[in-house]
Amino acid sequence: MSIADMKLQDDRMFQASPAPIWESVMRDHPGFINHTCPYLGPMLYWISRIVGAFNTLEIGVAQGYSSYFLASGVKDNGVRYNQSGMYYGCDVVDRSEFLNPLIEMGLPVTHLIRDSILLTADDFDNRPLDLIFQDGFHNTDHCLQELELFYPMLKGKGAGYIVIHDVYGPCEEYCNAIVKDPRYEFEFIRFLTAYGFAILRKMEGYDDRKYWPEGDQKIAVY
Amino acid sequence: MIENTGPKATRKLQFTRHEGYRVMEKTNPNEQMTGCENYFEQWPSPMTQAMWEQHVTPMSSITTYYGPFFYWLCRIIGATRAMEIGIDMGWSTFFMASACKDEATRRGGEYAFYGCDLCDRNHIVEKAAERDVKITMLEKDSLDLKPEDWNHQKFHVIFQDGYHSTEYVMDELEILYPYLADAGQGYWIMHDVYSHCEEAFPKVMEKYEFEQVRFFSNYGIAILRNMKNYDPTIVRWPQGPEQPAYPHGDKLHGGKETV
Repeated sequence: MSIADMKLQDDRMFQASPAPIWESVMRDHPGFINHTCPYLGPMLYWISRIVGAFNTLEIGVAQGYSSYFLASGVKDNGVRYNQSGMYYGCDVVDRSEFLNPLIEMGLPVTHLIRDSILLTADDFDNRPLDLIFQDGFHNTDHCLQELELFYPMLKGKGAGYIVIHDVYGPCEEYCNAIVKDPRYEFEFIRFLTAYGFAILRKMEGYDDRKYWPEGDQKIAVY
Repeated sequence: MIENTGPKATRKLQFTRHEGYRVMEKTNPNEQMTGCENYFEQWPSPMTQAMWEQHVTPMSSITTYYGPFFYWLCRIIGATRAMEIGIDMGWSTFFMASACKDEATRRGGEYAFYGCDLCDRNHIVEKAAERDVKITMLEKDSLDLKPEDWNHQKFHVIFQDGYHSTEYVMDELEILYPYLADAGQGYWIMHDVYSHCEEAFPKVMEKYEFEQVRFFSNYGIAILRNMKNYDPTIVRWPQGPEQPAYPHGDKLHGGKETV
């Protein structure tokens, strides 16, 4: 099916089950909805905004559904905070068909066509990564190699996040392994739907101090 | 303009067509952010603008990104029953209530969204009702909430953002935690975990069974998943240990064939 056909299919879904908020965020999307994880794409945009992601890596571009949201998050953060950033989309397959339209829209996109475990810090201009979306080859050993490679490139001190897809699917064994692995310090949460996904926050170097103004909580009475 | 005639449409959506997807008509009559009429001219953000345009209030400058995030969180877990303690101006309220409604529309069935606040927030309820989004307002102290208020049913999501005293936060949990879906299916959201609720957060984690992630921005937020009665021994992916992604065995696992 062509992209236009897929959009028409989505259109019929919106007519059968109206969801104006969802439909509103699709208006500029050059691709179409990934119905395996339809809500995860837009959610990644908001995670990107919340964590202030300027440098984002997506492993596994596929048809670019989530790529649009992640790249938009980088661009909008850059506009808001006057900083430059980059979305890096890694795939073993050439996904230019889906990523070039994003570049044409003015989104900051770098397409890395290669095996994820061959990437180096140079590929990211030696910038630390704020957010990684891991959704490539789901073999446990492969995912473990990816984490071993990218963990040092991810910001620490509670400022870097990894979102892993399929943690109640093909990546269940992988996810269960890394949250128990003493080499990694994460706080994490999982979600059951759409084969499951997890949000992990890198806590290495996190200062467990009190952040609220002067130590102890200051509000007790109006 | 094209009129939506879909069988489940409860209101007539207005839109124009733009390269395949429809462009929803802006229906929010309010300014973009209180005291900042031209927010999107200064800081363009098409996604934020698109979601604000379908809302019924100005954007909150405190939870600018969290409000829309909650819409997707509710959708992704399939929430049709949710509660918010502390409505304020209704930014997150309308998003969460809309998500419950949209989930119910998509799956078929009922939804319920409850907002608890000491103050009269009925103007938000009325604005939402104009969009066919139903909010049940509980205008009372959260510590006076009773299970009868929500027909004793369980919630998929509870967003706690009321009075931030540690004792108060703990008491709210005492009342509502039994009504949060368990076994990893219910989510409790705490706002201000890097400000007023910083003291309460570790006490919550000590007392209850949650897995959680926090975010620093906008005074901090924690998403907590209710792990009470969750069975960690269940392996969900097909038949136990991970099956190879390819049908003829996996070289990294010794090429073992599996069913």
